[in-house]
Amino acid sequence: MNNQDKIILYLDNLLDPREKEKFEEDLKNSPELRLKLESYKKVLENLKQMNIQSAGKSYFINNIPVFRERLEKKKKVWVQKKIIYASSSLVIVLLVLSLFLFRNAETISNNGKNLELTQDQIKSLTDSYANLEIDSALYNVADSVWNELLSDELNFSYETADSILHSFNGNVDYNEGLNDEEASLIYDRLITKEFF
Amino acid sequence: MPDSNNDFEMVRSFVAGDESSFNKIALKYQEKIYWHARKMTGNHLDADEILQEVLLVLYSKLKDFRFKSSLYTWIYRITATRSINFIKRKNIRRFFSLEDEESSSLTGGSDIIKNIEDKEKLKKLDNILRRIPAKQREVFIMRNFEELSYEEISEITGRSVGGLKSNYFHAVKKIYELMKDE
Repeated sequence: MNNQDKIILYLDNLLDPREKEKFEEDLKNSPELRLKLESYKKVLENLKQMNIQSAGKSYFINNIPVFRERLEKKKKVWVQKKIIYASSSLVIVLLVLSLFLFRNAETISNNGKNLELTQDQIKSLTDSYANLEIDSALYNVADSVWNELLSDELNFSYETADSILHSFNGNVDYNEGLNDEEASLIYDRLITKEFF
Repeated sequence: MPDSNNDFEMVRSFVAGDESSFNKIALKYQEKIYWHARKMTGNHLDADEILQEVLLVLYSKLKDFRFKSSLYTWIYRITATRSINFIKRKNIRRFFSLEDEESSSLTGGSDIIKNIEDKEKLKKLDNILRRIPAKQREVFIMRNFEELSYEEISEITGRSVGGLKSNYFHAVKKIYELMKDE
């Protein structure tokens, strides 16, 4: 630490007691160091002299009304901003709400159509659904295809093929219209046939 | 430091709805705010802007004052922060050439100091202070002119005492170099 640094710390009272004592000893023995210290003191003192803080009293007296005026303006602007934000938000909310309500109204009107059906119509629709008329048609097509396959590939009679198909549907006695010989033949052919 | 109890009373009164209490607070502290800002920025117009800004902040934030520090420290903290931010904003504007050095340091006829001698002194001080970095300047002003302790400055600025001592040390060193031949 050079003397200049020590002077700054000494003036700021930041030297520890031992350093301070040593520095003060140096000061006694060095006129040059004393001059330097005085020079620093003078600079800081001059700066304090330049620190004008007593001027402009009228400015400070008038400042409060000026501030109040600005505050009122700011409050007005603030209120205006709030109104603008609130209106914008309201418009957005209304738009979203109207979209939502419009969609709901469509759904409700569709539901309304269903409600206009008579009880008989509703019963007829549910019966049709329960009977799966469309599926039955598909079953018929599938039956005929299987019949053809069984009669062509396994040389079954139409009746036998038909009874096998019925057994698939689970509502036919397996032995109905099928003698032991035929059953044995079916069994033999089925276990030796390569379908794929 | 100013009387805290009286300050707290004024704050409570203002928060309770007494607008005149704010006027009292502003009257009590506006000069301190102004002169700190003035020394930080070096001209009246900027100091005036900071003063208005700080008063507006006080007006809107006094309800959040927690009475943990003195009102003086709290106000000084706002003033110091606003001043540093103002200088940063100004430097950015200057960097992008939106404002030149001349126009930014204009004091002109709008200055509140009418006495020629005082004006000269303050101009000289401004010229010296603006040649040291803002953070060193801030510490130097608080330490040398306001005669605050490092602990008080630390409470205001939120910086460490060690850092503040270092800032002050470098500020004094630089100022001495600028003024030693005068």
